[in-house]
Amino acid sequence: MAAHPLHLLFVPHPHNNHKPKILWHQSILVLFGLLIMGRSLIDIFSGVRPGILGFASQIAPEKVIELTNQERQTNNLPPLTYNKELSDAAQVKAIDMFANNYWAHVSPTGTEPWSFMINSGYNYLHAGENLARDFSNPNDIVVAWMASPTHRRNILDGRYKDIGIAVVDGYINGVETTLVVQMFGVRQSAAAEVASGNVVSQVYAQEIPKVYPATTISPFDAKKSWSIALVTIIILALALDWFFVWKNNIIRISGKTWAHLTYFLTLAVILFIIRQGLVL
Amino acid sequence: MRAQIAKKHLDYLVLLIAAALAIVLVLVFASNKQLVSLVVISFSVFYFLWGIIHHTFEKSLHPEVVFEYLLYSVLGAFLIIGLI
Repeated sequence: MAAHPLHLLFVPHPHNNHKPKILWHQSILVLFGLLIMGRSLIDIFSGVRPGILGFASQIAPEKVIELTNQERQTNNLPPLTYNKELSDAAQVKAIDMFANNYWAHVSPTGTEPWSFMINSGYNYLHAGENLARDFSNPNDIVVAWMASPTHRRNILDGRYKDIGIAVVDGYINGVETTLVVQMFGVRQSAAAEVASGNVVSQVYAQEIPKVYPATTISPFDAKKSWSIALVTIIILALALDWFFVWKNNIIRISGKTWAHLTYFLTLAVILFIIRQGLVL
Repeated sequence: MRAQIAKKHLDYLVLLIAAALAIVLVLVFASNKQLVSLVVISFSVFYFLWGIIHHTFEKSLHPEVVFEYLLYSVLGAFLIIGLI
């Protein structure tokens, strides 16, 4: 009696030469092709329909500020207050990074972050800047900053009173990127404050529009889901193969299923660990 | 016979230690993409070599087996590398 195709695909049987068809060399090559094809389709789709697949999927600046303040409160520090001048400075800095194609605190022309603050009318006594790119959600950004000693120091610096943030989507070196610029500061004395206040109203009378698209899925998450789906199929097939080979005491020329399972389970754990995004 | 079984268990232990080490290193270097890539590629190359050595000692090395480990190692590495 002929076995069911699904049975032949996943269970060792005389009709599949005692090896599930999905674990045949040809099938592994097909899975490899599907992996590459799936990723290419996601890349093409995110290029053609950037409104659906984009990096700035769920990064709301307010949420980044909220999470930053949560970290400060956990460490018994007062929360930072949103400051429009700092946010404008962060916005101009992000736009400058796209315009001049760089990913650094200091621009190729030597412009430091502090000059963006001064130009936006924020006369600082102490100031700091955290950068992040390509994250798909605000939580991962703050977690990555807190994991880095220098960024953590900025977030937990008791001298800072104000915070400004910008989330801007664009291209750096031809790659679609979402930049998150976070600026911290504390103003100088009240006398200097009044003097700089006049400059603000003259130079930045117009508000710079925020450019973060309201998209739902990041290409990274889509590709990661595709990889997880494929690795799950392979692990399932290997687990079934291992069980039936053991149960039926099958002897065949093949690699060790138990070892393959260990290898792919390790990769599955790594798949869950890796996150998108860089901090600077 | 007993020595052969002990050797097999040692092989599996080495593989398990390598797998655990790969996971720990990825956790430690999570924010450094180059190092994560290096860990994944090293683990995949290690797995391929582990398969060859294990089957050589078991006297069950066959070109088909070598190709199988090669396929799995390359597929496994690509599953992760394309994402980093």
